[in-house]
Amino acid sequence: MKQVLSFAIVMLTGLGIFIQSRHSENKAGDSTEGYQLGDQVVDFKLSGVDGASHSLSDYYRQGAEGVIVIFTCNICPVSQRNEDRIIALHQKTSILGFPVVAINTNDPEKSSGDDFAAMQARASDKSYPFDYLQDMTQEVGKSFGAGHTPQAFLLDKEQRVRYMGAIDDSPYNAANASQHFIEDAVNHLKQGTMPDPAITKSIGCSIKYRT
Amino acid sequence: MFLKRLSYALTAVVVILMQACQPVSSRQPAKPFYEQALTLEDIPKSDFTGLQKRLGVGKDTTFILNFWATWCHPCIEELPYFEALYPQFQDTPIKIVLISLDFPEQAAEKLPAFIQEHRLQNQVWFLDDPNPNSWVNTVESEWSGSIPATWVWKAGKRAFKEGSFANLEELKSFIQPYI
Repeated sequence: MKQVLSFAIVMLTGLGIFIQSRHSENKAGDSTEGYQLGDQVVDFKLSGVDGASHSLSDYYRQGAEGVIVIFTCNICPVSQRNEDRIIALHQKTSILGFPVVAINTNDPEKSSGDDFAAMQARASDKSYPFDYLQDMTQEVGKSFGAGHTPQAFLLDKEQRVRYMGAIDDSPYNAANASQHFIEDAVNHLKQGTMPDPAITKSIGCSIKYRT
Repeated sequence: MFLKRLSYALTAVVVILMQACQPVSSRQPAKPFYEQALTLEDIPKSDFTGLQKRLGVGKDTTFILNFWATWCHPCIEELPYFEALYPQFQDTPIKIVLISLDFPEQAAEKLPAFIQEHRLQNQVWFLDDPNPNSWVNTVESEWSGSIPATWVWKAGKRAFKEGSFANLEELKSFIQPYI
């Protein structure tokens, strides 16, 4: 009788171990080249929907303490769900010295609706308070290693990357956000501390690079 | 007498548990998914923890998991390659699952309709987990978070690809080492 009992116990224990042990990892992922935390961003110059050219260094010359670079676009449904948030973010952080600069890197040939005229129309319809720039050569997107939209990078006063990733912890629904990563990161820099977390992840649309 | 009954009862529990731990593939009907997915309730739904648990149930099952959404055009373009593999993996421990990241409030309207329209044969699971920051790195730390993305999940082995497969051959050679 005892034997049957112990057999049953051994089997149950074995099953438990079996279920527990299936968590080993063996990575074989694509890696995205681009700026890492602490890297100093090389100056760039892009055309804005306002018809003017904008350099990263311009914002600093105009007194910015840092810049929030957000890769976004017209057509990605996740970007669209973050559009009002990006507007509100700029309104909040620009007065702290951290303007938003939105960059569209999508190849308009591959991404219908992301051409310059469509960008201008969207910015006008929504009265974007921030600059919306077209990365026609895609060099800026590549230098940041931007993989999807929307994706944000916070640069400090020395143009160094101090935060990269999501705007907040609820990309699909602003009302459910409980952690506002970018805003928190800006507040850290304002207080002279490093953002924590400094890297976060979100879900979004792949950026359409020319291959 | 009591001990004898107890041991029978325990043995029965073990047998039931062992059956519950059978590979997922052997417990599921072999008919194409679109025949059963008429409403959102017919589509398995979970958060990421639930997804991990579900993967852990399949003892010898290799899962080929494709993250997609009905709003993602590049995702829809590559779905036919996954569908083309469906007949090949019937009655094998290899299972393709299309993991939908659709917007929760649109899923009831869009997901079953899409499955019907495209007559999707592979299983679709709905991953409803609002905070990707809590789970994207668990899939793969190099994943930027863009979809489509494909994750191979086999006991002790993982593989990951961010981005689209250009054709069926590319998908086949990606999964070949794991099947």
